[in-house]
Amino acid sequence: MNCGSSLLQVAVAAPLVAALVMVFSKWLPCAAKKAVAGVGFVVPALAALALCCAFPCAEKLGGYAFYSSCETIGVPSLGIWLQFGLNGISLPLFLMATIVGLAAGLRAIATKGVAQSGLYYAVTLVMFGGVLGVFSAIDVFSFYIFHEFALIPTFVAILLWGGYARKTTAITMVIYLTLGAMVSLAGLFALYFAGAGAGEYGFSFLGVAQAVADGIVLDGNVSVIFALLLFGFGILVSLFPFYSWAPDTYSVAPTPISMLHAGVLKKFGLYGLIQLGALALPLGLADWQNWIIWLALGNIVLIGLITMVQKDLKQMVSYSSVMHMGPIFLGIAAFAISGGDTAGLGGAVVLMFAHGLSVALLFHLGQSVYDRTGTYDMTKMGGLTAKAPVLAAFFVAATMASIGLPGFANFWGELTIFTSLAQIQPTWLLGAIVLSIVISAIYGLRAVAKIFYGKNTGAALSDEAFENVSDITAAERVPAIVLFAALVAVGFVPSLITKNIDATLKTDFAPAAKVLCADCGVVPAETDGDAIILEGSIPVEVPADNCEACGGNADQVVLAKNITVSVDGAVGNPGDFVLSGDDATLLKVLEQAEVDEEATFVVVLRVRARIPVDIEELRNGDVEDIPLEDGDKISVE
Amino acid sequence: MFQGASTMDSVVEFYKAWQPDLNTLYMCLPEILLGVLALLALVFDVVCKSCAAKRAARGFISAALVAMFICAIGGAFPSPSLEAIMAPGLFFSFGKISIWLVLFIACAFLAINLSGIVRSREGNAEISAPATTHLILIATAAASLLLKATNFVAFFVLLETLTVCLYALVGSNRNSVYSLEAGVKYLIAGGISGGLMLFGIVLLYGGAAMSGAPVLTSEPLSYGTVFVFLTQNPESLLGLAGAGLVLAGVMFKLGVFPMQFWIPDVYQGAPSHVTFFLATFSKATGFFLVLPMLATFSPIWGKLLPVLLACALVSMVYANVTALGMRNVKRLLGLSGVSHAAYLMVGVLGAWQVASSGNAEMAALCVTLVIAYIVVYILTIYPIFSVMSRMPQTNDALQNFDDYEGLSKNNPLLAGTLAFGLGSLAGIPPTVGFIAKLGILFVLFQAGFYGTIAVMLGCVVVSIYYYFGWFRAAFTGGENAPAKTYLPVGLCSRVVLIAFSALMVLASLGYWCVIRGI
Repeated sequence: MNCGSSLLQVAVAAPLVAALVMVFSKWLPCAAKKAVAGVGFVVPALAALALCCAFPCAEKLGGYAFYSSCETIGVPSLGIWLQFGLNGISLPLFLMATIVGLAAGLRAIATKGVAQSGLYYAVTLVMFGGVLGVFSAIDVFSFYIFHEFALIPTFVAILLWGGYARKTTAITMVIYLTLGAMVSLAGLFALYFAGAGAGEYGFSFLGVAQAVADGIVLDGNVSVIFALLLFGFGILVSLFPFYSWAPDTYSVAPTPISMLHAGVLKKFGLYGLIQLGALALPLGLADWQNWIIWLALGNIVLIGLITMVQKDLKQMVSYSSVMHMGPIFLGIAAFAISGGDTAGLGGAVVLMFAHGLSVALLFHLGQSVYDRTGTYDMTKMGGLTAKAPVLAAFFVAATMASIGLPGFANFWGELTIFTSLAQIQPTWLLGAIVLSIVISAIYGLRAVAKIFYGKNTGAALSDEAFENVSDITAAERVPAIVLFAALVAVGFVPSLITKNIDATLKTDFAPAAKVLCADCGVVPAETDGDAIILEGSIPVEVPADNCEACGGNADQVVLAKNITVSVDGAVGNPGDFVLSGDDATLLKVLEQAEVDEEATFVVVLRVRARIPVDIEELRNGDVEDIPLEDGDKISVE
Repeated sequence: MFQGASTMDSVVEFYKAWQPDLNTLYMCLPEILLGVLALLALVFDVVCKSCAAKRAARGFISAALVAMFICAIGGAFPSPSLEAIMAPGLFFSFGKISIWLVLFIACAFLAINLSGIVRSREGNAEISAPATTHLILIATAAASLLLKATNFVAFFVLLETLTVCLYALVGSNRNSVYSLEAGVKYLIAGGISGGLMLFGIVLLYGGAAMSGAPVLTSEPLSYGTVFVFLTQNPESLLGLAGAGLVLAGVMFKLGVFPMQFWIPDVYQGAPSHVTFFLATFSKATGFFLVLPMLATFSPIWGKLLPVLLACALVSMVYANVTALGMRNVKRLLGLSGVSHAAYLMVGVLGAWQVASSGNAEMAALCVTLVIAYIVVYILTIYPIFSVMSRMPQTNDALQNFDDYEGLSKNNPLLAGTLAFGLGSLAGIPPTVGFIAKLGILFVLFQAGFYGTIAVMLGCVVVSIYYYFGWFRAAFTGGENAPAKTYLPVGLCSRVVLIAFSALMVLASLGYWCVIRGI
């Protein structure tokens, strides 16, 4: 184990250890509690920065740097054990999680007059540890566990320190999210049993990526598996129409918890959808792309309209966070729409990064506004710029970022997603999607106008009280600066994160892109008598012409006389068979393989299809003989 | 066809063969020890007059149980070999350990322990300590012996012995009308189930005897004979009806639909330690009995599977939906227990389906996962009962959510323990309850019961409402209510409660080790 992987483990463990110390909070003085909590929040952020710097030259295992694994936790024979690591996709999200966590932690520490402050810090720390685990664990089991691990503190925090109607909100949230978690659990199980976890690295992102690269065919209905993942994760990410838990939760939860949940934890589902759904089930994605488009459009337009009429600042920010999930979903769908162009996925990751920071900044500043005015009702405010110019400046900047103006990280994410959606059908949808920027601008700027411009309405603050309003304090300024700096840094130098994202997308997603590549013009082997195969490990999808999107090249195509298929199951002579083009039918292969007399059923597995055939009907000629393709797996039962 | 005389002879021979020899006695060593302990509990009550002596006697019994527990885990007791128990098919074992014995002793120990707390509450003085200990130990011995039985006579006699002990235990608080009512209800319900089961046994016996083959009539009531009979006559209506009725009796113990009707009332009325004993011990007995019964009835597996699966699914949905409106915590735990029994049941069915498809290695893993589920259930439910029996009101049959308000403010330790317990019952990571549920899901996927998985996941979501409703009550409110007086938590109990809470999380790691060891 090298230094980097230890650092990664320390980063995940630090908040949890700090939370454990809080068990003794009864005997700790207030300053000591704050110091311990502070350490728990700062250490991961520093570690993440160091890891980010070390990432480009770190030793990588299948694209994952800082790899470490612990086989004691798990059952290696079943393909489940704890593994940590970061690749180009998880690195920016991990960095974002630590930055938001740092800001949320500082906000939590600075909050005055919290009942049971030790427990409050502990809950925030546990949640922070959980979200760090989500983005650094690469085995699917731990990935899932860490997510649930971070959910419980959310529930407790809302229950104990939440705002209006906290009891109802807490239980609604838990039931809704458990539903999402259970559906996605079923999807993950289905993926696992489809054979995604059989490789050297078990059921992990790494193992799945490797299985995909090796061309292992999933033995299951990819469309159903993808649907389970889409709707399970969709509930967790507040995909329309499963969003109703989100606005209430975020507006009721204490601000640090809202920052962590809306900013980071919610990205769990999207991250899973990219790293598992799009990677291993590209055909499932293609099947469901229209659903994603329309539902995401629901997020953008319908939720956008709802956001516009919000009077409550925190509700507005909450709804806006639901709305912004739309473009990210579209970025994922763009992978299938564009026929294997990974730019959309990259845009989705960048937007996840950017949205996490900007929504956390908005929640943070919203709390600062509340601290000054004593209300979230925007109609009762006004003219705050005069008294709190710095706060106003930050708020305007955060709004601009959220709209997606150039100079902020959000811009690059949205731009990439919109351009990668160019091939969307019908084309007018693109207009509806770009509407999201307009809607964001309307509600964002209206909020700015109501809160900071004009004159004090006198409804929330009397003129005397308004005179005493002070500007943003140092304790509020630090988290805001941290979040703002990250947004601007990536806004001006996007290559800070996009380089790594791009590298991972290019290598890991190449097989999936190839499957989706429609321009490649598949030429089935049997159409012209001779089978054409590609040199290398992906034999089935054969590009006829140049295909820039999938990187295929006509020079690599060679003519081959023979194809190879493998046969197993109830046969006397299992193994690989090399067939000449004329012999390449199912019946001929079955003759060669000496099928057992009791065998009744045969299945042909290939990348795009699973063809079940009854042997007796095949022999009698009741069903047509199946022409075989290279790489087919034939299983006799 | 019917050879009356020879059948009668065989029954006589059967009773002759029942004469214990030294080897049989050795095989029953743990049960004999438990019986001796049970008698000692009564003797101590007569002999020990002073309070200190009584405490010493209780200490002795507890120590003896702990010693037996360690011996059982260490594999010191003779464990019947597979062939000796089950001629016909698969039976479960953990190497040299009889896992059921370990669990039963643990349940008995914890229940006796809880009875001490329950008795110290106001209004529970009528519960006799020695009688409670005695009955719990006898029931434990009977259940353990029951799983070593290989014929339906021993099966029925031992099951009734066990049930009679439970009747008495349920009604043991003679001052409480709830306890007495529960005792009567349990007696009637148990009587019905016993009658059905006996009828089933008679049908199987009659069927086996009438089929006439000599090998069948030599010992017409043994599991092996019934197995052979069913193998030869898989279409026999007699056999099918008999098997169904016997399984109904087993499901009564487990608490699965349609034999779940007694659970809420009896759980509510029984003193808390007895409720705990019913929830863990009775369920474990039912569960471990399902395995040999399924082995015996395996020739008609194809016909039984849909019926049993439907029963399990109905009880899952019924229990979770009914529990939504419950505010009485004991009734709630009863219904939650029904749903957990149903999860266990589908797990067993899934494991059996895997076994019948011929994958022995995977089947062994699946059975282990299901057994792990019941271990986890027992582990989870003890701290909850421990908290319940320390709540302030005098009549614990009437305990409901309102009584828990403000618990986290007044007694964080009890609230924390309750939170871990409920989290594990609901199956929320990182508690061990989640991993145990995952194990069941693994089994179901392996067996290909996709519909069942959907129902089970739906039920888990529904159950969040009532578990977290309880949780919510414990963690909110109490601002204006007068401070309540909870039963004091001694240093020892404090350590135990913290240990159980920690175990709820750490056991998830241990869980992996157990599975890897298989």
